[in-house]
Parts: sequence; C-alpha cells; structure tokens
Amino acid sequence: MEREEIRSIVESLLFVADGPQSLQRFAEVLEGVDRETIQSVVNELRTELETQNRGIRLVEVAGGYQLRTPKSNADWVKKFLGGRPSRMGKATLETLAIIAYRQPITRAEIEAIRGVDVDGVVTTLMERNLIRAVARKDVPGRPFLYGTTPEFLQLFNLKDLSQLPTLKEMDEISLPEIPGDMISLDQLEES
Amino acid sequence: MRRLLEYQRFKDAAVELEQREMLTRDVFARSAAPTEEASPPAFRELSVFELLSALKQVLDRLPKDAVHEVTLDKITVREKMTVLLDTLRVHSRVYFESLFAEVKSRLEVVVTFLAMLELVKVRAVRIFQEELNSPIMIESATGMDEAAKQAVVEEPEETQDGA
Repeated sequence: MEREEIRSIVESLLFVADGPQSLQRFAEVLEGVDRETIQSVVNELRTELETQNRGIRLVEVAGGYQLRTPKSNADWVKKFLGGRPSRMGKATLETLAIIAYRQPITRAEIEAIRGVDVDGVVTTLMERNLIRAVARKDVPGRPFLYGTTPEFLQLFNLKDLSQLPTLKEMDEISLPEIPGDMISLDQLEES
Repeated sequence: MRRLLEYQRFKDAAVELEQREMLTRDVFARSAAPTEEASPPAFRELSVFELLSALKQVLDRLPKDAVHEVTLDKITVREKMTVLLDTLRVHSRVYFESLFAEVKSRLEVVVTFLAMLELVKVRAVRIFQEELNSPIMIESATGMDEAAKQAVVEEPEETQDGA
C-alpha cells in the first residue's frame, strides 16, 4: 500500500473515531502495515495540522490519538455548540487530584487527607465516569479502591498517568497566609 | 500541620490540573455518533483447568533458574493487581501471555497469576477467549462501577484501615 494511501486512511479513521485510538488499533485495521509506518504517518498528520494552523489538531491522549480543536478556537466552538459550560467545583477537583495521585485509594483514605466526608463527591466523579472502583482492599470490610478512568486522562489532556504534573515536595508547599486556615479550608469546600 | 501540608499538595495539584487544556472547556472532540450496534462477538469463558494449563505453559517457558535463588525485591499480589489494572486502564484488553512478558522468576509468575485471579474474584476483570484454543484475553469488567456506586450508598461507614 502506498504511503499516501495509508496516511489518507489513518486520517479517515481518526475522523470517524469515537475517542482516542491506539496505533495498535490502526495496525489491526491496516493489516500488513507495520507500526513504524503508522506512527510516522500519524506524526506527519500531526505536524501538518499544527504548522498549517488548522482548526483541528491531532493530540496524543489517554493512550491513543484523537482529533481535537485547538484552544484558540474554544470560544467560537462553545458559542456554536451552545449548552452550559461544565465547570468542576473545587471539592470535586481536589478529590479527583487525590485519587489520581494516590490510586488505588479507599474513601476512608481520601477522607483522611481531606478531613471531610467525600461520599457525595465520589458518587459524582463515578457518575461522570472520571473514577471507578478498581478492586477491593484486603482489609476488614473490604472497602472499594478507586482509580481514575481513561475519561479522566481525556478530560485533562494527559497521555497517561505518568504525565500528571509532579506533586510538590512537602517543603515546597506554603500554606495560604490567612489566620485560621482550617476555617478558610472549610469555606472553600463548596464553591 | 502535616496533614494540612499534605492536603495543600493536592490543592496545588488540583489547580495545576485545572489549568490544563480541558476537554469541552478549552478543546473539543467529535461527540460520539450513533452507529449501528455492532453485534458483540460471542466469547467463551474458560475453565480453571484451561487457565492452569496456560499457566503451566508460561512456567515451562521460563529458564530453569538456579535452585534456590533468593529474590530480594519482594513482589506482592497487591502490586501486581495495581500493575494489571493500570494496563487495563489504557488497553481495555490484554493477552494473558503478555502479563508474563517481563516476568523474571517463577515466583513472579505465580504472584502475577494470583493477582489476576484476585481481580477476577472481585469482578474487576474477566478472562475469556474468542473460541476454543484462541489466545486467552483479560479485560476490565464493567459492572464494577455499578457495584461500587451501590456501596457508596449502602456503606456510609467505611472501615478505617489507616494504610
């Protein structure tokens, strides 16, 4: 098969794909075409979309490749799509961060860090498919252990979990300089 | 104080996460188009004996190592479970064989195998093959989330494990 043809097919597959697709998946469809060729046409497509400043970009995310609009067009796309902006509350985001960095983790362990009950937030995150129960911990009561999903990676534009921003070391952390931290932390819960 | 600092680390991480190019806020992808429902291929479940013979094949392929080699790095079933789940998070299914691709000792084979069985027990994964004698596959099971959601409702008291 001609390289041009492979490139064209891969572009079509990317266009119709629902969610990020792995090179492996393309290789399965394009039988007989080796991974290196697929990888290189994918790279070509990506560079082309980038350098021509096109309205779609090829992004490596959640273990695969996906066509996405560039951030610079966000406002127009949002206007076109209508609908409400989906904002994630602070409590939800923080709980999600704890799960992402400490997975697999139980609800009790999350609560130990946050200091408050997280049942509601955990349910919300599960409903949004950003976390899932991955197993049960082998301790009395066999509580569920939670971990993040591929949708989590997609949401935050991460190739994989190793791409998570590095957690700061303890001595790099400075607490907000407000007297009565505990109060302000609580007030931040729902915002 | 230490707990506050620990919590602050995650608050900072949350802020960093939020600054990333978020899907449906900063960047957009095609939404799923309705397609003809692809008929799910019929899979067969495996018997314990088939699994054990697959395990034996893996063990047979390992070089017969020195009789009493002491392995210093301890591998736990728990760790192997995490590794397997991580893999399944990225690739929704993997070949049974591939679990043992980088395994170095018989002990590690057994631990990996036990981890897999443990995950089957808690219904986090399913083991199947497309037809008799075709490669054995492991896939992450759906339904786990459902079970867990139930648990959130049903077990407001969670056992403190302090781990």
